[in-house]
Amino acid sequence: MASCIQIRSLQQAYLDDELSSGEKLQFEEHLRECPACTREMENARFLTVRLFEVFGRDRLQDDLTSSIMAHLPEMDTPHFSGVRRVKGFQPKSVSRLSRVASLIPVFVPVLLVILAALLWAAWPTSFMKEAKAVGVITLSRGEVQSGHTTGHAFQETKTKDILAKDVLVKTGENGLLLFGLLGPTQATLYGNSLLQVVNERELLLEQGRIFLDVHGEPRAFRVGTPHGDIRVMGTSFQVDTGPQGTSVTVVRGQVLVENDKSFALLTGGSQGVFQKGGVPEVYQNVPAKRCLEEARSVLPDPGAERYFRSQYAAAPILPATVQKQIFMVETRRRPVSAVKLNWLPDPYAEGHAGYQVYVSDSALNPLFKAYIAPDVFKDKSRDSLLVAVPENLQGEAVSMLHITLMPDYKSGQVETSFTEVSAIGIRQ
Amino acid sequence: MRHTDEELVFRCLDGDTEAFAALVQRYQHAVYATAYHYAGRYGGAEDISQEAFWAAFRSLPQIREPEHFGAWLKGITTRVAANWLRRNAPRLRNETPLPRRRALFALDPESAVHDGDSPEDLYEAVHRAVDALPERYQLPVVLRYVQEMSYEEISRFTGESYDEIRGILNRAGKMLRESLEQERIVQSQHGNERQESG
Repeated sequence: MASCIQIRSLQQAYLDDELSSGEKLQFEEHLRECPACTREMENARFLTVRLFEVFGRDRLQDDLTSSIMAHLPEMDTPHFSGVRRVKGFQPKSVSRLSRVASLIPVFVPVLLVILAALLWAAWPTSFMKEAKAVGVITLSRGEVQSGHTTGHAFQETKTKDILAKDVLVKTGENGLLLFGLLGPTQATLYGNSLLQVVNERELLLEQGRIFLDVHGEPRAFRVGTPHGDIRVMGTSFQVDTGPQGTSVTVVRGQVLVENDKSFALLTGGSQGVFQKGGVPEVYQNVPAKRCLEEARSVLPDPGAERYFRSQYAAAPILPATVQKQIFMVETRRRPVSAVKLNWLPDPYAEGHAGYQVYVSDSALNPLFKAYIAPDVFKDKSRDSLLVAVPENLQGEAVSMLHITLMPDYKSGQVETSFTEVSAIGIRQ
Repeated sequence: MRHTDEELVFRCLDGDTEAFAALVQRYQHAVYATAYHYAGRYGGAEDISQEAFWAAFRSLPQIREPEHFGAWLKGITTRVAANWLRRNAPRLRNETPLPRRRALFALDPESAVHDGDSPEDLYEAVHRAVDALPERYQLPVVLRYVQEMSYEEISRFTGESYDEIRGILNRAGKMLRESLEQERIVQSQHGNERQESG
């Protein structure tokens, strides 16, 4: 027999005639044997009657249908978020708009596929396949061709093409090419130029003219030319190379220009002109801004530029690590035979970088340069090295030597921390 | 043959106003009772019901689940009722609420069920008790007692399941009895019963 609690939960439904026949029989059976529940039920019945009585007075008296139908308003235009058609019910005719709306589930995926295909087609070609991608062409105008160093087949270069390592780019008389490299670096290559993109931080300009905006990574960006190398540490500058020599115009930042024999440090507003041999000539206060204005007058393709920014320019900029180290050595105008470098050997490190040693006078006029091979640092028992001053310079009386030590990352990645640099005088 | 709400909705959308008339017939009691619950004591229930059906007809193309037409209509009705109250608020402020007005002509010697209690007292006490119910219980109670709707019809209109409605009405009945006993409205029945049994 059901409990009183169960029975009382059926009470209202019993009064409202909402019980199944099984429940009803159970309920009545219980009531016959339970006076408490019977009394409870009678109370509920009494209240139910009163409620119907009270609320019944306010019951709807008339049928509202005719008055409502007599003044039916206009139906709104269907919205796209409208009704779903349900299986099994086919309306006689459907308004045109709701028919369009019912096709949305079909249209949307198709539209998405078309959009995806369009995006795919517009996306820079073969980026996925090109693992060695280092940059992207942001604008190609006029006659521009590119090819690979290993093959000779040049083909037309288009905006949004991907730049891979070891790509050769050739511009015709009217050609102009804008490209971005990882780093990020933005470049403008003018007409009649031949450039090899060695990697994202190294370019070889065989001939012609290029303007570069180098940012980010503190490690040197290098531009090779037939006459010597240009190394920069984050700057804007223009390189113009021809049969007569190479000229570098610096808009801002610092640029180091060097050939086999000598070097020059250029700063904003200065220009260095150099040949394969000899000391670079440095001119100050040249109209460098003009180079910048010329480069900025050509705007990249907006889509390609966005792509470049998302893919390359957003690359995390490495924190500035130890790179170049600068020492000043007082010589008090005494002749110097050698420069002595001291460092702290790192007993655990391997893969040391070789170091370029640039020696200038106090006015930053270059004197000579030297190279310390990485093997020197491999020998852990060693903590100093003498760099001899060339014989022809030993007689020069300078009050101070300005020594810049710059790692050559090509030979190794591990940098060396120099502790002291001193000048060795000549006994007179 | 009885059509489902869904079929009737589609017919309306196809321009068949007869189908809408069928929906009005089916739901006028529910809409009226809802309107009565919100604004009935100011005599606006019929106006609100008409407005609600017109609003439903206007926005019928926007219905997302035609199979739940009842619950959708309930939403529209409550909105229309709220707007009606807002619109008429200035006028209503100075008007006597319906219970007392109706009670005047509802006075009928034969329906005086309470020992000495006037029908007005019962009317007001019942309304007070319903207003004191949990919000969710109120509309099912009103639908049940004002229009005598079946549990099935109530559940279609409120969107709650049949079993939920059965539970709600059972609990609401118990609560109403308790609060009315406290007000000594139905207590007399106990006394009568005891006298009878004793």
